[in-house]
Amino acid sequence: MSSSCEASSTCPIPSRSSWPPLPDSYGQTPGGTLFSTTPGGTRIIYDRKFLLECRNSPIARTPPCCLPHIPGVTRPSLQPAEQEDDSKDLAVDDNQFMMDI
Amino acid sequence: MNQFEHLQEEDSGDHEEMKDSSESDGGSINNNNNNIRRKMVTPDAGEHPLQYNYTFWYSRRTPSRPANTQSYEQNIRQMGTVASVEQFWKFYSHLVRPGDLTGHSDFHLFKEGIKPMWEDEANKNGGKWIIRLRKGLASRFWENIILAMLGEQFMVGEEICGVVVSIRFQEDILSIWNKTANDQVTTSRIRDTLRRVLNLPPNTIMEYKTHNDSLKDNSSFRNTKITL
Repeated sequence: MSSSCEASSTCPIPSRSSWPPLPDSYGQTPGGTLFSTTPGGTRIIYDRKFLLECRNSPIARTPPCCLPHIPGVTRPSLQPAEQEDDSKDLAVDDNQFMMDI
Repeated sequence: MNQFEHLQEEDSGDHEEMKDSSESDGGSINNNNNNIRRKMVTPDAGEHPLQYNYTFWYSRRTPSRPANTQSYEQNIRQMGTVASVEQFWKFYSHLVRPGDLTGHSDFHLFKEGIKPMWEDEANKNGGKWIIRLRKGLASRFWENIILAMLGEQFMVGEEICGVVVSIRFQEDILSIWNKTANDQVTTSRIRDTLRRVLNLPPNTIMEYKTHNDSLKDNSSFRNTKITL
């Protein structure tokens, strides 16, 4: 009876890995924060880029009030030159990442 | 309000130079801030709150001394707790980079209330992924793993306990601790997220070890389960 029908083509169930990555702008509030609703409720999510941008705010640069003094571990003042090195150092698409670790 | 004023007074005197750990064996003043006086740490106005508060810890050990639970607890100290992105940067910017630490040292960044110890309630059924790094990489990887944790990139509910960077003689080791070692969905997702956020080369060896196993062989990094 249904011999004239075309068989439908099969198609594998798409797996998580074949989904395109979540676009950057999805569900974002201004300021790079993603408030997502998960079964446990809303979570505060920040991407790396946003967190790095916050580093330069004036609030973030003042010393914390209760920093313990541990020589060789804590440093009372920021060294500006070193700060620049830090951000240069950490580019995600750096070739160095392909080196054998 | 009185009890909080009292706490503040106590606090201001507390932050003296840390004694060499070899001097602080039992009995002497435990000057390492581990009696957790819970002053509420909250984001200030205008700051970006974190999903959880986190506490920075530091530990150091002379390798010749055998480690046991008691000496470990004495050698590890809290440095401060942060509740916002800005507070995090304040603290982090005033710490030396792990690559510049000397000796057998560790930085730990753990959720407030969880001690970076196998025996802590939150850790007793848990385990950790570890990644071994050749010298020179620790600072960059430490920063990236912290940012991923603070930014809630791991997506495993409450499972993440904290992260550790361990500076050792010939290699450095990055660890991420989670609460439930036998939850394979969680541990797989953590592993996959690590690969992504740390941009690990595809053949990177990742090792998992339960804290129970660590307790049994009294070792953090030996006898792990190896995953490719």
